[in-house]
Amino acid sequence: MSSADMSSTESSANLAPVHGTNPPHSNNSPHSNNPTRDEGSKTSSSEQNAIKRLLWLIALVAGLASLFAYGIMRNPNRRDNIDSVLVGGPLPEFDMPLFERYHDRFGARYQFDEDGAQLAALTGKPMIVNFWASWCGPCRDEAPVLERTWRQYGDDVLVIGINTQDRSRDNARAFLSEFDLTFPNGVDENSRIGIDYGIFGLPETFFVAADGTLVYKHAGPITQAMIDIQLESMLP
Amino acid sequence: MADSPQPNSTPADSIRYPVTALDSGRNRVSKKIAYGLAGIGVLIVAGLFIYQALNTSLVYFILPSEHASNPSQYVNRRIRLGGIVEKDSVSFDDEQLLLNFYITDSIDRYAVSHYGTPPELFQENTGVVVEGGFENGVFVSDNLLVKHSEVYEAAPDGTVDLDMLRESLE
Amino acid sequence: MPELSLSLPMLGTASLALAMAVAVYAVAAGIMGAIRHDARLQTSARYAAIAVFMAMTTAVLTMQTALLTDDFSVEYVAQTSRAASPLWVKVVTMWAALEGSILLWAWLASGYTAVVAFASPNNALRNWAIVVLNVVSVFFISVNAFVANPFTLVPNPPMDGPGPNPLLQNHWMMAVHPVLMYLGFVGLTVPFAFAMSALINKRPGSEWMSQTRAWTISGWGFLGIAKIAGGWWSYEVLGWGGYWAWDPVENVSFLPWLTATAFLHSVQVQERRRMLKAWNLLLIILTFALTILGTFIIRSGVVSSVHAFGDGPVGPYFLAFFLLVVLVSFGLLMLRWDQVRDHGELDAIVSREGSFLLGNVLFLAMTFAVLLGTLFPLFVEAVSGDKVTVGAPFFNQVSLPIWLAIFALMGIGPLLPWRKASHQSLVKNLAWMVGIGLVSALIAYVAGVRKVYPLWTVGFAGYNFASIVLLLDAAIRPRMRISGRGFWSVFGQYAVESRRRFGSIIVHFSVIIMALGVAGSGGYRVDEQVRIEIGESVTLDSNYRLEVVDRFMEQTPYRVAGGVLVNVHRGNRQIASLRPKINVFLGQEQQPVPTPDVLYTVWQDIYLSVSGTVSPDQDFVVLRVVQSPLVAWIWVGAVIMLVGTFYCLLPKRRYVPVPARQAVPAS
Repeated sequence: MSSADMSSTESSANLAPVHGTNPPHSNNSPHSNNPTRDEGSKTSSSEQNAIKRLLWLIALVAGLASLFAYGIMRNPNRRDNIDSVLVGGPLPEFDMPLFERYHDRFGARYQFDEDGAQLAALTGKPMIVNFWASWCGPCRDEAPVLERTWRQYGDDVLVIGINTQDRSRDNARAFLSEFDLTFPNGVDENSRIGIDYGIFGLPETFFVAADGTLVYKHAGPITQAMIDIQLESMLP
Repeated sequence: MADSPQPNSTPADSIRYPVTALDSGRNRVSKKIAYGLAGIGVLIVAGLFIYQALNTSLVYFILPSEHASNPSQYVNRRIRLGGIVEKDSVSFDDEQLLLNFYITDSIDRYAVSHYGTPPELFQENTGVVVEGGFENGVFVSDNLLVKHSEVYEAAPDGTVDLDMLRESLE
Repeated sequence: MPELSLSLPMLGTASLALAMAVAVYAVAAGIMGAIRHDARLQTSARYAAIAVFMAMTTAVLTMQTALLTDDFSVEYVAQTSRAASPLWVKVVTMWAALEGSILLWAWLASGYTAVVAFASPNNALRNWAIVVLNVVSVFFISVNAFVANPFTLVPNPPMDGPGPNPLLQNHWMMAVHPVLMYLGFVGLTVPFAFAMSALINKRPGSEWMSQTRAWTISGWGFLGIAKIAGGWWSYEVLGWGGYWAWDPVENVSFLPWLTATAFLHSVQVQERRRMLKAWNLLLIILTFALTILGTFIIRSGVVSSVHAFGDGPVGPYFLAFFLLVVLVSFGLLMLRWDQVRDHGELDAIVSREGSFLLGNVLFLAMTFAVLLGTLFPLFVEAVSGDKVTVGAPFFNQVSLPIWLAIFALMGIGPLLPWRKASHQSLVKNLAWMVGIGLVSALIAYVAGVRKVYPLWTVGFAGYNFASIVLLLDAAIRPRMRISGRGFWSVFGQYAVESRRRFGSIIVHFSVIIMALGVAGSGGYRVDEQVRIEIGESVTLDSNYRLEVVDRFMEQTPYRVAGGVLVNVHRGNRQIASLRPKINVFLGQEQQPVPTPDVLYTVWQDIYLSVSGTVSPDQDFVVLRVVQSPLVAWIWVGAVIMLVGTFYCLLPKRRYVPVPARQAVPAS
């Protein structure tokens, strides 16, 4: 582009006055020029040129803006969509081993599949699925809340804890003993379940209706009040 | 007239235009045209070159059913094929280091042969994107990406929301 | 210490807010000062720039304190740090994620602004330049303050966090690479600011570029080294044995470097010949605009990339700022068009300025091609809805010929005189260069190099080497004749007195070295996957034998690694023991990352990366074996380039001949 600009400049303008793109008028004597008229016509034409160039620029910018705006809008991977994907649909299946302390009452494994919970005598109930880890601070806050819920609604609602991304099994066991959690807790081996459920952080809690569809997903620590509100709408 | 010095200009004039005085107006115009033509020529060549290069190295991202509906469009082209790893179709030959499986979008399925060990998160029923081309009806891949998210799980009746699958793999 | 953990993030947010307010004031005071010609207001704006820097420093120190004391009440710390990480990882975690990197960028921007405000001489351009720099600071601080606050609180702090992305904590280079990158970006903001000031002040001469020469060279140097450092990190960490993949994220940070390189050359034409005024302004505006555009593309996820930067909330802000920058700066350039268009004319294409101009056009053509290839998927999707990616072949096909042309110009350009070259000297020089180039290519051909681009590269490397010898010869021989001193004495004087010239020769020399490295590793890289039983060995085609001796495990508080011990034999001699491994970082268990191990040698690297798993119940291991000829020379070249750049920046000094015998007799 610049090479064209350069070739278009007048070579003679080298020593012309500063605003020397306009040649002097045919009369060589500088005194006979009408300086005001000359100024005026020159400014208006250069102004016109400037406006023309600016219009081009604005068109270019508008084009770029719309292209990128489109790019931002169509991007499907935005995080705020994630909730809506699972909510209203069936929960992904999973199958996990339970901690030893629950074996006597609930068996060694807990499976959840299309037909709902496969845990003896616990099918066909609404369910609260809570993901936690022993190192996670808010999980400590909500553990007593979940335990209270389980003791209060235990006949009508299944509470399930899934220990995920923990440092060690022993840390998790210590956590269970510390809060004396009596609802079944299992281990998410290889973080498989966490990935399937698309969890972003800990804790996260899923509310599942009796027919196995996800009603509500809560990211972050949960309170008794939130649990009560959700259960009220889920229980008959 | 005045925009170029006259041939019979006074000595003072020739001092005022020391180097470029010999450049007559006509000369300049023809120079301008020459530059302009050269510029346009270069632009055309560059444009054709870029067009050609783009045309041969565009890699389309498609689903198996999209390929099945118009296979001739993708002959001898490198493509990125996205879909779900079909259940019970995975086998890994650890001698040849060949990973074989079927990729499906629940409408059409293709056999995939990938050279290399399976990535950490690779398993049945997950979304994958393989890159390569078809050879004798088998998709030979040299690049395998696992794209995991809950949306890849097919609905209980085996149907898949194609738009959603497409978006989530992209 | 609950009081401390509460007050820390508040201190951070408060200092951000303060910095923001003062920076806005600095902009206002600078503008008012300029309009009213009020020197006191202008001075006030300069002091405000220092205050902004101090407030930002407080914010950075606060963030560092939060990271080092494991204050997980700060969301950024909770999401990216981990109590068990080593000290250096905690320090660099500040730029391991979005909020922190913007904080780093804003801090560096305010720091450079403060330095300019105080160190640059008092002249017509300074005030508006500081205004522009402060506007840039305001933008980055506002991103921190409004969209990506690094000091957001977590209501219920966790006991520990997951730690930074394993790919980033796996190599020390990741501590350095972003800082270098931002130093480059921020450094090139300074000439941009002075260029804007020149346009605003209607002084589009050469003063803006002469005043910012050191900033330009250092910014360009940082950017180049940052790119190569990133490539080396990719080589050492990612496990595929390459350093450049034409990924969008790599491309967009390459663009400003290309335009900056063009700028670095064309400023010399303006300084010498008063030509290319508009062109230089265009290049520096483009460089700055591309910096912002690149950040937008990386951070908004508009173009899909294998680098998982995600799509933070900052995309639209960077887009808006990019459009604003383009509109205002190009708009200003167009308003001043009549003053900046050239009045001189190129005397001859075959001249120093002609070659620089041609090189500039080539750099710009490359910029355009890379940008087009990077954004093309977006165009296609917007027009037809098809999802496509543009593969590496496009970039190679388009950029390799351009590179070769630039490489050819690099040899001949510095040998040409300004204005017009005499045909005689040109032909003589070219004969030497082409002759040596042909000989080099022939030797390479005999040695077995048959691919086109590597052959051309070797040929042009010889040609460029000859050019450097001719350059030094032309500089030193006449001085020897005149002064009658020996070669080394004259050489030393030349090297010290013509710093920029000599520095540029060093940099060009490093380019030759790196080009050979790229040609060797790009053209003759062998990448294979090899299955080896534990205790057995496999002989590669290149006569290297890999013997897998044993498996091993390593455990630290924050990571577990499993790997294999591999002895590399050549002939009957064991030449190295390599330990490639796979790491699992605590808190990031889903993303195991390999640590390849590399045997660096002069001729070819042996690069081993564990593919798949290493487990006790598996009696074999699959190794990815990459053999890249000459790749080590890229890193060597980078060091030479760094030296050359630094050499250009050394302050000018008169050369004092060491044996000062020619004492002037007292008259």
